[in-house]
Amino acid sequence: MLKMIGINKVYKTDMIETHALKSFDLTVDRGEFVTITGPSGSGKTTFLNIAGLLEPFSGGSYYLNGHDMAGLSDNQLAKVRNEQIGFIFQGFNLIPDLSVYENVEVPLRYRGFKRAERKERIEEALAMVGLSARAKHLPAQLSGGQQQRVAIARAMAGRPAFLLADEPTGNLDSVMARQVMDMLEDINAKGTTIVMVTHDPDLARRSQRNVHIVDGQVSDYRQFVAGESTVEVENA
Amino acid sequence: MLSYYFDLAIRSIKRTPFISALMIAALAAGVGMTVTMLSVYMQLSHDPAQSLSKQPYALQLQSHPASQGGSYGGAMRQLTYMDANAIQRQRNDGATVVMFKSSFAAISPNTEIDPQFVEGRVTTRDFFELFEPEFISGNVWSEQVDLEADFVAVITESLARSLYPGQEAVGQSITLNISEYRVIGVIKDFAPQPKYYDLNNSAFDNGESVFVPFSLTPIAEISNSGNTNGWRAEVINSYEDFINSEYHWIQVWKAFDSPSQRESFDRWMRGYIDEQREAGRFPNPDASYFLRTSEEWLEINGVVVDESRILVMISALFLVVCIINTIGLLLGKFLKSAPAIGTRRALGASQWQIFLQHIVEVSIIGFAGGLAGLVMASLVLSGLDRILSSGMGVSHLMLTQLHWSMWLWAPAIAIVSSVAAGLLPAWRICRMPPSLYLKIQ
Repeated sequence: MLKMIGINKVYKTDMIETHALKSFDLTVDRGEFVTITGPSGSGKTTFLNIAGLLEPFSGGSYYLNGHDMAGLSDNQLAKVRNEQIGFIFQGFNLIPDLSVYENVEVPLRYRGFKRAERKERIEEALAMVGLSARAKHLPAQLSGGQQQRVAIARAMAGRPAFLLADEPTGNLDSVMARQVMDMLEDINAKGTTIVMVTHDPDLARRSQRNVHIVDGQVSDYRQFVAGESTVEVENA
Repeated sequence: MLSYYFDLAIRSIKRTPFISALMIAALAAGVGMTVTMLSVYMQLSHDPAQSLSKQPYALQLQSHPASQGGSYGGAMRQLTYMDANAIQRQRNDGATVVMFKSSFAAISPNTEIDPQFVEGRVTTRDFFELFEPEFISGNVWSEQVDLEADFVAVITESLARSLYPGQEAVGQSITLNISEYRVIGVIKDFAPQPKYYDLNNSAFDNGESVFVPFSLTPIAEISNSGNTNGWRAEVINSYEDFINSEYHWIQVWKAFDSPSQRESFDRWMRGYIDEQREAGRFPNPDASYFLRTSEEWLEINGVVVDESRILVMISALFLVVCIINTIGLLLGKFLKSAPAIGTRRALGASQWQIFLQHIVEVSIIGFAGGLAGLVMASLVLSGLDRILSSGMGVSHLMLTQLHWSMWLWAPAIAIVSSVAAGLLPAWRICRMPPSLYLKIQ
C-alpha cells in the first residue's frame, strides 16, 4: 500500500539545515492499522505530510499503491490526495463557514461528482459517524468529538483506500477519544488502511503495528495482536 | 465548479464585510474616476457624422490674412452672408447647407398654450439631406423655396407635441416672433453630440426645435443668436448693413456625389475668390478656401482638447493606485483564510482550483466595484451637469451624460482591475504549502 525507501527531508534556511527525516524506510500493507509514535520533533508530522503528499521529499522513493509519487505534478498530487487518501487532523480542520454537510462535500466537489452522488455519499458518511441529524449545523455548533466525527465522515466520503490521522484524539477527552478510536477501528476492519500519529501509548497499542520514530529515523517496530500486550519487538 | 466558487466567494465576502466593502470602495473610486473621464472623453471625441451616408465638409474661406482672425486652421470658423449666399446660389455642385442659429418666440394658434422660447436654425433644404434628421411626417421645403423664400417651417416632435397637443402638426400655423409660418414637416428631436454642424457657443448644447428657410433671412430679418465675428470695424445701422457686412456668422457645409462634382465646385470657388479679390473684397493675396471633414472640423475647433486625454491618463493612474491598495487588502484577506485553503488542498484541491476560486471572488468584488463606480460617475457627472448647464443656460449637457458604452466599460474595467489586483494574492495563496497551515486552525 505505502512504501517509503530511504526518504530524506531537509528543511533549509540561510543558516541552518534541519534533517527532519533521514533515510526513512517504511512499508505499510493494505488493510493495516499502523500507529506512528515518537517524541516531539522526531519527524512524525513530516512523515505524515510526505505520506499525504502535502510536502515534497528531498530524496528517496515513495510508492503509493505501487505508483512512484516522485515527479508528479501538482494536479496529479491533488488527484491522488483526493481519490486515495483521507485526512483526519488533530484540530479537526473543518471549514468554519460551511455546514457539516458542506464540509463533508468538499472533497467530493473537487472530485467532480454530480449533486446526486455527492448527496448519497455525504448521507452515508454522516450516518456512519452518527451525525445525520446535524447536517445543517455549523462546526461551531458541535462538540469537539462531534467535529472530529465530521472530519472522519469527510475523510471517508471519498471512500479512500488509505487514511492518515494526525493525533485525531489529541483535542478530545477520554470518552470522546475512545469513540473516535472505535470508529477508526471499524473503518479499518472494513478494509481501509490507516496510519495514525499519536503520543498516546494506549492508543498505539490498539493498532496492529507501532512504528517509533526518533530523530527522523525509525527506532523500532512493535507488532500488536488484539487483546494482548506487545508480542514482538523488532529493532529497526 | 464555477457555481461552487461563486458560492464560496459570496460566503467569503459576507464573512469579511468590512474589508470587502473597503476593497469595493477602493475599486469604485478608481473605476468611478476613470469612467467619468473616459465618458467625457468619448463624448468629446465622438463624431456623429461618421454614420451619415454622405461625407459632409465644413467650408472655410480665408479671405483676409490669418493674422486678422483665423484661429481655426488658418481661417475663420464662419462665412459672411454675402459669400454664403453666393455659394448657396451656385447650386449645381453637390449639396450645400448654409445656415445660422436663431432664437424665436414660438406661438401656437391655440391661445390656451403659452408661447415658448425656442432655438431655431435658419438653413437650406440640403440640411435635411446631409445631416439626416428623421422625418415623422410631412417633408422639407422645395428647392424653389430655397431660392424664392416662403414662410414654412419644419419642427421637432417635442415642439409639435407642446404646441399642438393631440393634433397633427403638419398644416398647422406657427408664429415665430412676429411672422406666421406653415408647418410642413415634423422630425424626431435632433441633437447630435457633439453638435458638429455648428460648434459656436458650445459643442454640447441642445439641438434646435424649429427650422426655417435661409432664403427668408433678408425678408424676415432673422437675427443671429450664434457667434458673429469680424476682422475690421464696420458701422451697422440696419439689417441690410448687417447682411452686407464683412461679419462672419454663417456656417456652410458641402457634400459631393462624385469627384467630378467636387472638382467643378473647386473651379467655381477659385473663380469666385479671384473675382472677389479683384473686386477688392478679399484683402488676402493668397485667399483660399478649405473643405474640412467632420473629424478635422472637431479637431480644428478643439472639441477634443489635449487636457481631456491627460485627464483620462491621470484617472488611469489613480485607478492603478486603487488597484495597489486593493492588492494589499486582498493579501490580508486571503492570508487570513490560509488554514481553510490548506484543508482544501489536503482534500484534493489543486493549486489551479484554489487560484480560480480566489479569482472568482475578486471578480465579484470587481463587479460590485464597477457598479458602485458607475453610480459614483453618474453622480459626479450629474453634479457637473448642474454646475455647467446652469452656467450656460441650457437644460442639460450631453457632455455630462454618462456615455452608453460606460455601462459595458465600467464593469469590464473593474473586473480586469480586480483580477489584476487579485493575481498576486491568489497566486501567493495557491502556492502556499498546504501543510504549513494544517496544524494552525
